[in-house]
Amino acid sequence: MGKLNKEQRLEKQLAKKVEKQDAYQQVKLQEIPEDDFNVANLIQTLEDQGQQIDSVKTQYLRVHEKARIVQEPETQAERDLQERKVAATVMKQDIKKWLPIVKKNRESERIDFTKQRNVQISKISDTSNALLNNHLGVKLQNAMEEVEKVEQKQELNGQSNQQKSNLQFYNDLKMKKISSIKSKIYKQIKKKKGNKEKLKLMAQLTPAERRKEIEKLRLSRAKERITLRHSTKNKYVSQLLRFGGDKKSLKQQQSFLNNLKHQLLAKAQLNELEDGEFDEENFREQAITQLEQELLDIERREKEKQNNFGFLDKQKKQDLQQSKSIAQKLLTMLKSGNDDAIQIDESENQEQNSDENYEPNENGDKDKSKNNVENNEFNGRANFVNETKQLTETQKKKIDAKTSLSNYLNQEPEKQQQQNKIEKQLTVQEEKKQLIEGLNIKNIKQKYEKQVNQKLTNQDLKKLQSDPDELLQQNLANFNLVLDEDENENAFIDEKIKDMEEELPPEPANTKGWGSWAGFGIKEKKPLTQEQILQNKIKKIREVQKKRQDAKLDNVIISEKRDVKFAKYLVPKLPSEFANSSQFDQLHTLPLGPEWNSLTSHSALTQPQIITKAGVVINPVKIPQQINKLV
Amino acid sequence: MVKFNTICRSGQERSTNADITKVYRNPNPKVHPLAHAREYQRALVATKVEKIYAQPFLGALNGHSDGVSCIEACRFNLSKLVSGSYDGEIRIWDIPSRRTLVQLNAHQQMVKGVSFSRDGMRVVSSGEDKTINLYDFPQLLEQSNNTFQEPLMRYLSKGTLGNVDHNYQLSQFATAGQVVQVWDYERPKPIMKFQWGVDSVSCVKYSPADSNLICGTSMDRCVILYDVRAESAIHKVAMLNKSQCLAWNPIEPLNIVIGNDDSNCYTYDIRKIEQPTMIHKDHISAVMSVAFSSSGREFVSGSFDRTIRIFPFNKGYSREVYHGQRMQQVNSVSFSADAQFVYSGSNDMNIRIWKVNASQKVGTINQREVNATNYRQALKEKFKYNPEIKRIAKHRHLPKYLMNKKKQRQEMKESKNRKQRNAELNNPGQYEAPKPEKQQRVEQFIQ
Repeated sequence: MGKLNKEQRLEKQLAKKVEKQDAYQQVKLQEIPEDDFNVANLIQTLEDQGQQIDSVKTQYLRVHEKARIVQEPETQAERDLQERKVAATVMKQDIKKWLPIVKKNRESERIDFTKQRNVQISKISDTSNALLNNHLGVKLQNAMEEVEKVEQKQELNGQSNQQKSNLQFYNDLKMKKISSIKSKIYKQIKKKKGNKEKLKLMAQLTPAERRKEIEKLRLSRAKERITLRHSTKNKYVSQLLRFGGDKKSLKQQQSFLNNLKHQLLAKAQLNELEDGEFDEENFREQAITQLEQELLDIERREKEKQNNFGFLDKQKKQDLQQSKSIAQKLLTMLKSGNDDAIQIDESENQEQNSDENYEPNENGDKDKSKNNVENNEFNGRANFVNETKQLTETQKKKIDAKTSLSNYLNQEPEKQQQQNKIEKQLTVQEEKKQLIEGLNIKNIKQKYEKQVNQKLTNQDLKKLQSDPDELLQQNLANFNLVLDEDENENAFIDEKIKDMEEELPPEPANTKGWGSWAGFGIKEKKPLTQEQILQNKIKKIREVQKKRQDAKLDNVIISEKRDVKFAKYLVPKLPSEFANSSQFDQLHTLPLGPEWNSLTSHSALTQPQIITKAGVVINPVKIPQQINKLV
Repeated sequence: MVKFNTICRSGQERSTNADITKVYRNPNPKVHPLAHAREYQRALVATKVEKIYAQPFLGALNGHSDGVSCIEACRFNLSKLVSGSYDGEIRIWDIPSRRTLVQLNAHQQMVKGVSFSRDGMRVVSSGEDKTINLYDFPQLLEQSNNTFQEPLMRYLSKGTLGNVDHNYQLSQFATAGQVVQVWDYERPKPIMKFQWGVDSVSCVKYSPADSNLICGTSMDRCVILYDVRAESAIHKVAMLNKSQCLAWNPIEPLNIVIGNDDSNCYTYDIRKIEQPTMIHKDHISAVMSVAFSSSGREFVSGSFDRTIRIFPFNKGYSREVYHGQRMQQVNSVSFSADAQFVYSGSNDMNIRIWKVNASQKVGTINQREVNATNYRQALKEKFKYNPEIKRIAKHRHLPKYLMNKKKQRQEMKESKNRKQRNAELNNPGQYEAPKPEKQQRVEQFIQ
């Protein structure tokens, strides 16, 4: 006998295990066979003997029926497994309450562990001190405070009314429910009935099915055991569950806002009813008198003694002047009767009053910035723009020369014919050297040069020179300039092509016989002609050209070689946190320093993600009370 | 005669240094072409400066006459720390003055664990002599001269004990050991016992946010989760090596970190404990103790390789490594409650105090200075991918034995990978794709 393999041994073991399990299950499934010595047999024998045992018999039957449904006691292992399963489900449900908090923490830009809540009521004086210097501003604030007080009162009244109506509604609901509630005895009877029915059903089931049912029951009981211990469901919690924690406050807010709206509308209607019609003249007169008073007030304040601090006086003066100018403008407007103008002035004032820090507004400030550029601040840039728009003199000369020459040449029909002929010849040439010519501008320029040179033969030149037209003479002189410039451009193009040629992979040295079959009867390959080699090269260069960044830029060479010295300033590989390079580049678009940002934005940009402070104890996370009660 | 020189100025429009003058600045980026370059230079300088000023070690608390086995910082009072040693001595320390306040001969044998209650009023300790002592903290401080103070309560356990951890909300504490036991102040016997599996549990920790959940690590390589309400544990996961310690994230109470004997730390999500969500590598020897920062963003680990490392909670590698020439194996680490300091107790009988941020200034700091450091930190964050800055920021001086071991490990890893790759290349179709490392580390999940 050879030794069994590991796998074979494992298989045998497994088979044995499976057999054992099957046998166990079968035994379990089979109901216990009835013994010969039975209570039932005993009773029967006693009955046969003629003894009176009716009461015993009925008792036995009742017990027997119940015994059929009595549960088989579970093993400790089974019980533990059930407990664990239930505990796991309960734990998972319990943990869900942390998820929104964890998510919020992870997504928030920064977490401040030193923060303490200090809610302050905002006032007009907090937002702008300038308003308080104004007489009108103080009045306005007082009026606003009064309005707030009235609103609060009304709100309280409204709330109490709403509470009353709510209470009534719930009382009605309660009465309805009570009318449908049955008595305790009724419920007890119903419960007993239900239990009996359940028992009957259980008696009908097969043992396997019964076992399943019992398992379900046990699971539910285990769950009860865990959950009942610690959960509370009082009236408040049930209400929260029903109406939601935060939603209620939202609803309240909404209703409060609606109330406000209605109140304002009602006020407006009342005013209209009281006044009848709106007296424009009266209102205007009143306004004018008020404004005049204010102007007097301002003058008086201007005459007052000044403080010792220069900068305070300055500011005060500025404020006074502002308010004075506003008042004067308003006066003139009211006297003249232009209502539209008021709005414009107000907008101006707003601009003046707005913060001194630069805050770009897309709509309003664009025109301003444009004006600035045109006027004074950026002379340099404005000049630069002008320069780009205005062509240089040499360029002008060039254009004039070209146009005038072509015009002159086009005037004569004979020369037109000649030109046509030349063009035809050129087109033929083009067909022949399509590959070479399309490559770059160099060839086109050469062609142009040839054309011009051919046209301007000695005879033609003499003719041109003898021409009395002064403009033409001048242009002829400038023509040389054009040609010189072109030479430079050619050199540039040559350089570009050279750059591209350098990028081509090196060609293997073509020595005869190498890299080809040798022997008798093998045809010799013809070596490539010079033209073919050139054409191949051009093809390759074109492919290279397509890949280059400067393919479409005639006047630019972009070097794509890696600068070793500069490499340490660049990130060699895209970090895994980013999906693409543009996303990564956004990191560097915004400078953080105080030189390039306002102080507020600088401090906001440089705040650390997690703020801790020595001496401040950080407590473990806690669930808000509302959620805790819900759970 | 004394001569006075006086200057008389009249007129209100005199300008002084105190005048507020507006400075106009153009935010157009075209006007600042060198902004990026300047910020890069600043970031570079900031990283270098941080290196220069990095002095993490603040001081040592010496007094124990044997190796320190366990320490815990008070969760309520920032200046108090309790430590236990191998000779059964417990000491309570005042950290600012660095001296022992109370010295107790609490246990006959080694102190296995110490723990503060959340309100800082009670201290619990467990020892190898199967006793648990509950002390009244204010009373301890009052009678600081008495080294044989009787505890408020002494509980006797039937089996051997592991560490002890106090509940964060209730007057209960749990002990590890042969059986996991939950004790109440008022009862002499444990109110709950959990036993599942063969071997004993080495470490248990209460969830800081949920008073019902306990997590434990057992000697049979398992990580087990218990619910106090249930009569049995919830589930456990068996790993390849045994774990010595664990810590809960106090801000995200779903996550736990486990220090394993294979020199790694593992983060588990207790909802899906089948496999770890993250492996934190860097130690070269078994991790003996882990502790979470109260901000929940980083944790500290002390190892048998005589180093302390600080890991970000969501990164695979450590942010910082602390080591000392005389520091031996680290048995226990703890974070201060304000997340500013780390304490470590080691075999060399000392407790050391370290800064969490090595270059941070200790003491009162001017608001201007705070702003400047914030700006420097932001710059470093911005340019952290840059190779030069990354290189400087990442560099740490390590002792030779650490460097050699690290190199050796790297070589072993590479050769193993090479071998695997070659085998796959030479026998195509015979190998399956290797399992991800997170799955490899877990042996079995048991429900």
